[in-house]
Amino acid sequence: MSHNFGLNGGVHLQSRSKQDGLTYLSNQRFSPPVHLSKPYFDEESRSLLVNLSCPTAGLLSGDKMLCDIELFQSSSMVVTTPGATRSHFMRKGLAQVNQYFRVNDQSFLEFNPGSLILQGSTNLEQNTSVEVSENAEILYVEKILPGRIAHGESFQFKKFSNHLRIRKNKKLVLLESFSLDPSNDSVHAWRNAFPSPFYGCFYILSSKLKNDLPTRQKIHGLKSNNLLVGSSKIHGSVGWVVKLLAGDPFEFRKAMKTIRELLYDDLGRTPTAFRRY
Amino acid sequence: MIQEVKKEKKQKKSSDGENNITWLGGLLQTTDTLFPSGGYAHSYGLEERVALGDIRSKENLEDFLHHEILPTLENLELPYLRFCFSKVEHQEYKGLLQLNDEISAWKLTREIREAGMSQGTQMIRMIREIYQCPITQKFEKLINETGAKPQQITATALLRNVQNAPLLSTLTAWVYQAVSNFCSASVKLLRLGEIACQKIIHRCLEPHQLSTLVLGSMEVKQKNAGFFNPVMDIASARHELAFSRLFIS
Repeated sequence: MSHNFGLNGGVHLQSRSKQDGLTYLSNQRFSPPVHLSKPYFDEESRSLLVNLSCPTAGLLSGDKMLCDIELFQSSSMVVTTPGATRSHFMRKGLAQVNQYFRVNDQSFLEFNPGSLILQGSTNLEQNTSVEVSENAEILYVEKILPGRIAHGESFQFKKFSNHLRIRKNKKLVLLESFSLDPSNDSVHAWRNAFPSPFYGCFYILSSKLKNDLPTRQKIHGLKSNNLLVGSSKIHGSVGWVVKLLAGDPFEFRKAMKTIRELLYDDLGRTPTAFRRY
Repeated sequence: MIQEVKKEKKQKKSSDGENNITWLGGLLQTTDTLFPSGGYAHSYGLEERVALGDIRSKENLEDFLHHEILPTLENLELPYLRFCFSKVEHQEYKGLLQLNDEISAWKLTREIREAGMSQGTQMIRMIREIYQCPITQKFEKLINETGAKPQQITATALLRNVQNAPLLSTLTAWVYQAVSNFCSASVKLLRLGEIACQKIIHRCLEPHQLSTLVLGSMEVKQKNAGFFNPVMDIASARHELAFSRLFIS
């Protein structure tokens, strides 16, 4: 007899702004494996900071997690997690994460969770759909580690499937789909970039960046013996994608922080402090 | 998928007869380097990989082709060529336009995307010049109305359809062209000789490996078509700002 102890839950958030421009959560629902902290309005960036935490300490076999976030009325929200998201050991089965982000009406969303750690024998499927309307903006960030590097665990996960679709004004502009399995060539380039390669990617969409990414040269200038980084324009000239691979956690954190600040500069916005202590 | 392979085997059986190899001449002409596809001007990211220092020799190039390019073909390009081939065959223009949009969307860097578009546009022009193809004419009219540009994969499906080339031969020709393009660029980038290049191409097209690759690609469903190569994405993105370069991409 088989038992499925997986959790089927997640978070639904909607934000709007008041007449004075303050962003507030107009709708919120959450259930395990997600817990929502009390939102914090950052005066300096004029953004609402929301921390999503995971009371089960990560994703386990059978878990189905939904993250559904929608912004209206020029609201501005930064969604992060207090730490890394761990996809744990799975004897069988898989965990699924489905994410939907819809940014409307000149709103701004930064979705920047901690790193996703693909621990030994884990099997995770992640589907993400991003919809951005004409004058809305998004900074969507992915950070992936191939295991618990500090424990010497690297590329021992079973499988990780990732499907990302980004639409701007209902038109498909970015499609990234892959299925990684360390037993075949699907991880060859990533694995051979550095002995312990940390992967990060920024997807930034804004009508302000239609023609140019002003800090692009600076971003490319960050390249070192321990860091590979490059940026290119997204199809339809709706924004930019910045990818990086780092050889160690210090270089990775430093580069992610610097690039985030540079991209905020390009958007003409002030970055929200994540308030992680 | 099984039906497609059966149909293909049936086609192959009949095309083995001397009377039914009319498609082969067209396929040979349009995969030849003399055919102006524009491929010679692109390195598809290889130039920057050489500049980054991780491809320096014929051994590195062969490793790169076997472990990065051939899996990309199997999991991404060949499946999309097959999807387009099917849409053309059934004259499903809307579906073909959607696939063309998807191809532009999964080419993550501008240079690779635009290389596909310029070669696709050139190929459509050559179809117009050489063949009388109402399907291509209608597709061209429809895509012009949307303001989009045809990708090389989409245009290749149209070309192979007008040539009556069977699907497996179409996919095999795509593998040959992809490998051959990289080898051609490596003559300049790595100063490889013609014999070294031909040996590499030969090993990439080794019959068992090639049939595993092509048949493997037939299993890939549209939802799962894709490949992860962040090093190639980064290299292609950096090539856009390279101080000096021999190739457009």
